[in-house]
Amino acid sequence: MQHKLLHIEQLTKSFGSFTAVDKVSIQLKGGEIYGFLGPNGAGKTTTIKMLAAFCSRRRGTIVICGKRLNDSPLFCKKQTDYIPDRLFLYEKLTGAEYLGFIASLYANDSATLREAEQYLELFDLAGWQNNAILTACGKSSS
Amino acid sequence: MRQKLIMTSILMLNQSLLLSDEPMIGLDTKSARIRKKAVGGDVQPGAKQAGQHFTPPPQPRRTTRSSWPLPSARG
Repeated sequence: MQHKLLHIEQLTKSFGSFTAVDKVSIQLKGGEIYGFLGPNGAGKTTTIKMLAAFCSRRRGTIVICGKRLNDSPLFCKKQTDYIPDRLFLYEKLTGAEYLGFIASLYANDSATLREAEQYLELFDLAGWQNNAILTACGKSSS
Repeated sequence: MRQKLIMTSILMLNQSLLLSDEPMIGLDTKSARIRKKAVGGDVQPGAKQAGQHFTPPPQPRRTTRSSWPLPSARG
């Protein structure tokens, strides 16, 4: 049986008496792009945080690549990249050091860093990769 | 530039599932296009992303019959 890449069933999250996410069910196959639309407070970020395992005490089922997030959190996290709405960078590292650090967290090899060079070129960051992030980007306001 | 660096760190990993909250925030037009192309182009069988944009496109301003023309212009 081929598993869905992401399967959410009756996902619910409450903060006290307020229900932020109410029985959301989604099934997604590989290659699909799915967007959440809604006004502030609709529960979009909360849903994404639950998928990234940043929200505890939730109700419902999250299955990523055929394994339940509750049963195999490490496996599910290894399959998942998460970009938060508020970015955090280690500003004293250079761009190259930061990318090396992230690659090492995922136990990836030098092929990953070669792939990074391609994106650095695309985003016009190749010339900045050896500068400290704080110097290159300025101090973060958030 | 922060967003671009983080985007690079994410795209290089090429994970199965990409969760992106406010995927276009902090990107200039060119980078936003590159990002869309990179994610779309890199989608392999078994890869997908979930993202959200909560900024709606600008809506045309509605003018009701009772409020137009403005009282000062009615004479």
